[in-house]
Amino acid sequence: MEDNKIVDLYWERNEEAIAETINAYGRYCRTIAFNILGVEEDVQECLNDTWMNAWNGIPPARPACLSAFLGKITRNLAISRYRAGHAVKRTGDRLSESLDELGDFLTPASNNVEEAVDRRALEEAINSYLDTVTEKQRRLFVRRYFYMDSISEIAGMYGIGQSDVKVTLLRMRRSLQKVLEKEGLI
Amino acid sequence: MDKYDLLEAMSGIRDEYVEEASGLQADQETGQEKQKSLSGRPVSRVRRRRPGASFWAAAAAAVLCISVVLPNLSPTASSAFQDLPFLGNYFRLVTIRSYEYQSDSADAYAEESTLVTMSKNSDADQGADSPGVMAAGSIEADEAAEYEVSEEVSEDQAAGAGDADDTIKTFSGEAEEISPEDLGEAWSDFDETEPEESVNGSASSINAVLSSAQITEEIRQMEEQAVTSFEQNVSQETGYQTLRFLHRTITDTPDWYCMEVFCYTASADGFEQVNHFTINKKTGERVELEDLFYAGADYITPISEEIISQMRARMKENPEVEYWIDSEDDPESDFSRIRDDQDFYIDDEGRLVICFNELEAAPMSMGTVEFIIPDKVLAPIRIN
Repeated sequence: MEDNKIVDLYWERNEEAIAETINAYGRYCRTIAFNILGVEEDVQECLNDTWMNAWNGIPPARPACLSAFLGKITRNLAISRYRAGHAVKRTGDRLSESLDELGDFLTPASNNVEEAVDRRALEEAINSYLDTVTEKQRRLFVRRYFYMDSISEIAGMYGIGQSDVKVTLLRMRRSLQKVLEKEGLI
Repeated sequence: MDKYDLLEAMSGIRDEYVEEASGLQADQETGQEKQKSLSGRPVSRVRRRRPGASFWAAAAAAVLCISVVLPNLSPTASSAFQDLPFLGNYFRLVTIRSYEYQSDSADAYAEESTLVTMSKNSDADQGADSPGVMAAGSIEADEAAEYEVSEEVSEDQAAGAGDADDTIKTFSGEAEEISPEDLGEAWSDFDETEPEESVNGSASSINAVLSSAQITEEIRQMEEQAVTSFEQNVSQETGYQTLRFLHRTITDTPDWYCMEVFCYTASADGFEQVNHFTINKKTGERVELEDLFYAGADYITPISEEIISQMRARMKENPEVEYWIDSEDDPESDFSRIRDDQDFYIDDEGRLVICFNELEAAPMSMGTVEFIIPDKVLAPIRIN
């Protein structure tokens, strides 16, 4: 079923909307949740919460891009669950790896939990940066830091070497760092 | 801000970018998800034909030795060379080990790699029992000079006597052991683009061996220096230290093989440095910038002028871009010309790309910068 028809079902408060959503995007959301949580029980709970959030969010929302809308709900729920400690944390898990990479350019002075963060400004800066890079770079960046894919998965997905992925991501983190510094966000 | 703030802010990435990377574009005919290849090669779910396990066992034994002619190659290894799809030189960057360090005050990841070469020559060049050359290992530049190869191969070399034995001894002493698994990963994707036939198969093979061995040794020295410097800084406890030393292949066409070495160090500030290595696959020779042009040609002036023109255009298009040109307060420090040995590589389209490290031609905020030199600028003077 096309996305706009699925969204119409939500607006009609037809519970078939959930079934159609799961049919179209169940696997997609599950991958996002599993990449972050890694434990089946937590993944299932996260997905159930995703469908409930979607039901409660549409309407008033009428997402133009249903996959991104759902993916972001799942991602946010999964990260919250991870942080809250409901998920069993494993050393070397993907979220830890991503956090370590992103923490590369946070100095001890900027890595200050007490300092309030202008979330919107941060998001705008990230998007402004992604506007300037090539499609290849953007895809790698989004797969790694939004979808939390591993380096080997990204390399296999796009038919490039793991070293290519690592170097590209490292250079992008450096460039993003300069952007955030210029904006006064770090 | 902490790391979680950044990670959570990634949820604010534009929907179109999230969808672009989602891989959800369906193949209208099959309904299956289609992954878009970023390498230019098809991303196939069909397992490629690969040499069998016995080939890698033979290769592991073969890597310690090279020869202009391989009269004594085992039947297994000989047949494996026949499996190489086309004549010519193949290069693969194989990471053989990594240096990793993690503490409260420092972290490091450095890859040590070997550039492995396999050369398949026609039977007519070397005889039916000698299908090619395979080599892995490193060699100092001064040792390599003893084995400079002219376009003509001597009768002794062609016959596989004398010089070949000497060469085997030299490389046997320098070569690193590489496991079959390492080679297997490196050759998991054969370059299926057919190269043009070598000018001289044997000379090209020797040159390819020398080039890859030299480059391997240079990278090894760079990695060793980077790790040593990192460890010294850690021992001196001068703040949080970071080291990343990585390399990758960036061009692998029928004519050119180019690789990039990327070194990032951070103490108070971060600093990145990039170096490129280029090999002409037809001749097997490593190429410096001047080698691309006819002898005596002034390549520096047209390249420098083109770069300055591009800098001006980029600065005009985006006020946030800054290069060291046309400055009013310090014109003597402005960029005016490239170095004779300026870092470069050849891209997938055969174009020359000039590279500058941080602070070479622009403020540190610009990072490393590159400029593609259009073919028309160099057409009168470029050899290949």
